[in-house]
Amino acid sequence: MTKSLVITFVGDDRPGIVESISKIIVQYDGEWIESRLANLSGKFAGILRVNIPEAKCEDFTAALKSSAKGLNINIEQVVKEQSSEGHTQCYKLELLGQDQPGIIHRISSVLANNGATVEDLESEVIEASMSGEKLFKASITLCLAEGYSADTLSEVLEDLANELIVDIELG
Amino acid sequence: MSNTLNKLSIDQLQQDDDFKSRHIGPDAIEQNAMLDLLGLSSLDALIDKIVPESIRRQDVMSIQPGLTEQQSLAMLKKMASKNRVLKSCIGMGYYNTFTPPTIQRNILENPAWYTAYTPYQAEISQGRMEAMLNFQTMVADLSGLELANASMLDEATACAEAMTLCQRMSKSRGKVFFVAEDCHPQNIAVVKTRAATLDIELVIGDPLKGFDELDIFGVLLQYPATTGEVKDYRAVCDQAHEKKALVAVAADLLSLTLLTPPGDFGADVAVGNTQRFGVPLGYGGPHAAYMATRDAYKRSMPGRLIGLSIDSHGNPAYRLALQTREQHIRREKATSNICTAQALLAVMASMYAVYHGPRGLTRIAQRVQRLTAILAAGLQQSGFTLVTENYFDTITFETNEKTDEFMQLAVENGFNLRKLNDNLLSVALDETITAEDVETLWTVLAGEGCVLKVSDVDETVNPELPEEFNRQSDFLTNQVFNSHHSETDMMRYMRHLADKDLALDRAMIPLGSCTMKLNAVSELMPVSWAEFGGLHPYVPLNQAEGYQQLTQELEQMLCSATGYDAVSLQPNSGAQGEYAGLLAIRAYHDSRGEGFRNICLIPASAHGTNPASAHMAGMKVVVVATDEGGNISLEDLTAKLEKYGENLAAIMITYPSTHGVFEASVVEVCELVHQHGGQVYIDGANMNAMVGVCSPGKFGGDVSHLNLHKTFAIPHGGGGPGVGPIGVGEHLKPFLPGYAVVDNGPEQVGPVAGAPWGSAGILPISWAYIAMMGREGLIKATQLAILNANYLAQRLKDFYPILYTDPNGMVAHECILDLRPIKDQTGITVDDIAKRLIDYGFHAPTMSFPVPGTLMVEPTESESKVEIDRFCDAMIAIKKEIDDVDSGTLDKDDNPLKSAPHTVVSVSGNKWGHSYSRELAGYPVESLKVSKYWPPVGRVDNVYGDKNLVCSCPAISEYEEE
Repeated sequence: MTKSLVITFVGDDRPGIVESISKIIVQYDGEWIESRLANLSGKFAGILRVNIPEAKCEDFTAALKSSAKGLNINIEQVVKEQSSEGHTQCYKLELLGQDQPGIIHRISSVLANNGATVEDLESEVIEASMSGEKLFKASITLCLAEGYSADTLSEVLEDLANELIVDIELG
Repeated sequence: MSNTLNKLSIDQLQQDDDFKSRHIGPDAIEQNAMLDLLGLSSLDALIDKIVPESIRRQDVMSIQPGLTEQQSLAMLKKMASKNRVLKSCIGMGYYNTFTPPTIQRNILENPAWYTAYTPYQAEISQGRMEAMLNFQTMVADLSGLELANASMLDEATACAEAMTLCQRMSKSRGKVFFVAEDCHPQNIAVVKTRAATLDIELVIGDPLKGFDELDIFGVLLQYPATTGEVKDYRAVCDQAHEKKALVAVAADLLSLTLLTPPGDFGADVAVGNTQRFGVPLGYGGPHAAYMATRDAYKRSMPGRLIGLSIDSHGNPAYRLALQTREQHIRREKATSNICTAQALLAVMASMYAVYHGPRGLTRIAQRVQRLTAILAAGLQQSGFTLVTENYFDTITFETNEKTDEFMQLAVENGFNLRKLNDNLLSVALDETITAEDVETLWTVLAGEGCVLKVSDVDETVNPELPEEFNRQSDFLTNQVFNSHHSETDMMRYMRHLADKDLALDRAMIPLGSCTMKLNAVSELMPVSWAEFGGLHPYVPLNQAEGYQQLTQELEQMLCSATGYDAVSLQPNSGAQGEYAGLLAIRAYHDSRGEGFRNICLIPASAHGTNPASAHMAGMKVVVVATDEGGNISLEDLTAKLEKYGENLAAIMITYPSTHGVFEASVVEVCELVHQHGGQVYIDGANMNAMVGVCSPGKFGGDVSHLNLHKTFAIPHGGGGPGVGPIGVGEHLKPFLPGYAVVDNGPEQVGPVAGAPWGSAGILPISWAYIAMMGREGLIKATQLAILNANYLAQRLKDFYPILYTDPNGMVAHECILDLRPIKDQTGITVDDIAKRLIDYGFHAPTMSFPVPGTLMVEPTESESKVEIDRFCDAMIAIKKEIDDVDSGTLDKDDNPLKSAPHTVVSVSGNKWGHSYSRELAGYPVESLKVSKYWPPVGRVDNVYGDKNLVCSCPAISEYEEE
């Protein structure tokens, strides 16, 4: 019997973080199932799911935490598998506009009110070429729950885009 | 001194070399000083060190030795005299007009206006942006729609852009675009070319018969129609809207002073030409076309948009709005590839509206319509059958077997009419037509015996149109159109706006990739001659022999300069040239049964127009990575070629790279692409580093566009006019763009612009530049462009890291200053430095292109060492200010960089709230006390401007104090 654990970590970026974590996983006969890791402003952060033989879970947890070395590590058990029945379609949302406070807040409110969950979000503030204006750029993967229409979401996003004067593309 | 001159022979005393040394900034002493600093012995040594041996020109450029200015003017005068300027009543979007003399001198012929750049630096461009806002207001008002942009390239391409706007914005899923068969033929032709690569089905027919069975997303109508007929399109618009399609109307701007405007009868988009508002015909251009649409579609509008915002002091300030639509930001997802448009001509047209005001314009329109009605009545009295029932300025009538005879007779009497077909003639009248002209036309058509008098017919004619056609709404009510009607007021208004701006006539504009070099007066003078300016683009070719000679010679000169085998002068911007070049590549692959090739490889560092143009040409963009040195990664290129080689259409590269380096690997890159069956497109924006030294047509390019408004001296005009000709290898020659309306053009690919030779009216400028520089001068210009850039890099490299250099530490004709470490260390941004440069009296270099957080600097060969040193001194002084921020001597937030630019109002005001001195703010160096440019506004608020979008002149009440 294996158990699914979700591990999150954040710490100063340095060579060997992934290597040291995966070493411990292997030591305890675990499997690295899936993960998202990212490097931002000198910090390295990640969220990953591993399957560990139930008998070794406790020891694995202890070993991982004590090997930390400057990493803030959190380990949680997966209580219930996310069933994908409730979700029908997933879309990619691209956003580009003048950087201003509250863009992510407005978008996420709209998404929440229209049955969409955020699977993935990447964003950055870039300097526009030629004029140097600060632009906010985001790429969001969202999934729509059953019973909610992509067309409705599109329309609401269109209104928001007009209000914030950003370009939103739902694809 | 006179002793040495005494010893020269008469030949040596001639000033044949004069223009070369007038165009090139640094004299021999300055050149040697700069070479010394670089440790080089000569200009030849400089080039040998920088330009890879593998691509150096082996052949001698076949360009004549340079002419003097007087010789060039004399040759052009002789050429121009071969043009015969008749009165052309051909219409089709091009009409004779009177350019008000004060506008000719104070705008068209004024370097303060024509040497200006696109207004990316809002604070130093307030003058021309106000003129462009006036243009937007004029167009929005007249068309009855809410929002207009700051110009399109021409009416035909504006129609094509309207088509793609309809496609983006319509809620219909249809693939059909319905084009009225009575649109001007060049509009139909260009729309056809555009639709061919975009998976759009074009149906051409009679809109009044409806389009029930068609799955349309949009409709294009012409108003008045090409025959002159004014039709009621209300029902057509309703019908289209029921199908969730959008309606675009190409409308004559002058007619809209009298007729119900498109916005009022249901149109969603209006486009057209503003040439007849005081801009010379120029044998097809340049003219500012317009586009107007509903506010709801603003995010989808192509082209530049001027908007009103506020500055750091809360005062009104103009800026370029909604740039997130544009190619330099959105790249292949941009609304259009349009970059350079027709700014200077838009300014002229807007000034025409300011000069005449709504009453003056209406009067002109009424006179034109009255004369048309009189002409029509007289023809009918003489037995002609009129085909047009309701008209503004154009009538069509039956001439049957006498059609050709009448056309010939008209020419003999000094008029060009329009042969609609074998049985019908059209006549279009305009602002310049007199009563005598009408009487002459009567004798031509009705015979010598015709004794009609205009004044008599005027008494009995009824020019009234049915009520539904008459305009009800007001227009041009803003103060600016009703205030400057004396010439004194007009002159001062134009001067007042010009004074606000920083153009090349005041300081160097070291914009990387823009090549802001000298636009010599002797190059520009011929543009104002009637023999060049007065020709309609569709006159019989035998009336335009001067232009034939000009275009042929210029094409030949450009072939010599680039190493290509043929040139098309039709595209009227670099982006338009890219599009035409990619169409040629597509057609070439098609002709060899390889039409499935649709992948275009483009480096991430390419100018935004590249992917945008590729998208328009129906290609899929695949990005090629650059290595840490900023060069194309051969490894990634090889991988991409492996993956996409079978479907590879082309690679688009810029050379020297947009990073300012002569990549040694370019020959290999071209070979690899050719091996996989792809064509090589070389973006010619950086041609200024290559003329006479290396030829893209010979080291691997199959097609390039050139920017005549960069390398070949056409002035930038504040954002246009541009000319973007393409040079092609022999194998692509059959696929050059075809000619609308005119015969004998290439036949494989349709036209990309309405006029066969594009903006022909400004081609004399580049002819003169090349003729006066001559072979030696052009090579010298290239050498000096590279010398000036390397000298500048050398002076600045200890203060700002130079981002990319070749293995010898050299750059090409531009260099990139890396400001990212400064931002990380002190929080001072590229924007701060660019705005502080304004306080020092400079236009900033190119910001954050191709690399975010940098400045790209291109001095060009026209700047002297004195001005380059002034710029370097300013940048070094700014670096010291940054160091002071770092050390705490200047406050982190309250420092002259963060608060730049400083206005004279804030510096001289009673309250000075800063922790640094007023002198540091306004006069950071002593030399500024002798000569100082003050920006009229503080830093413009961009977020505010986009959120509170105002794109036309505010009503008077908004200026009043509460």
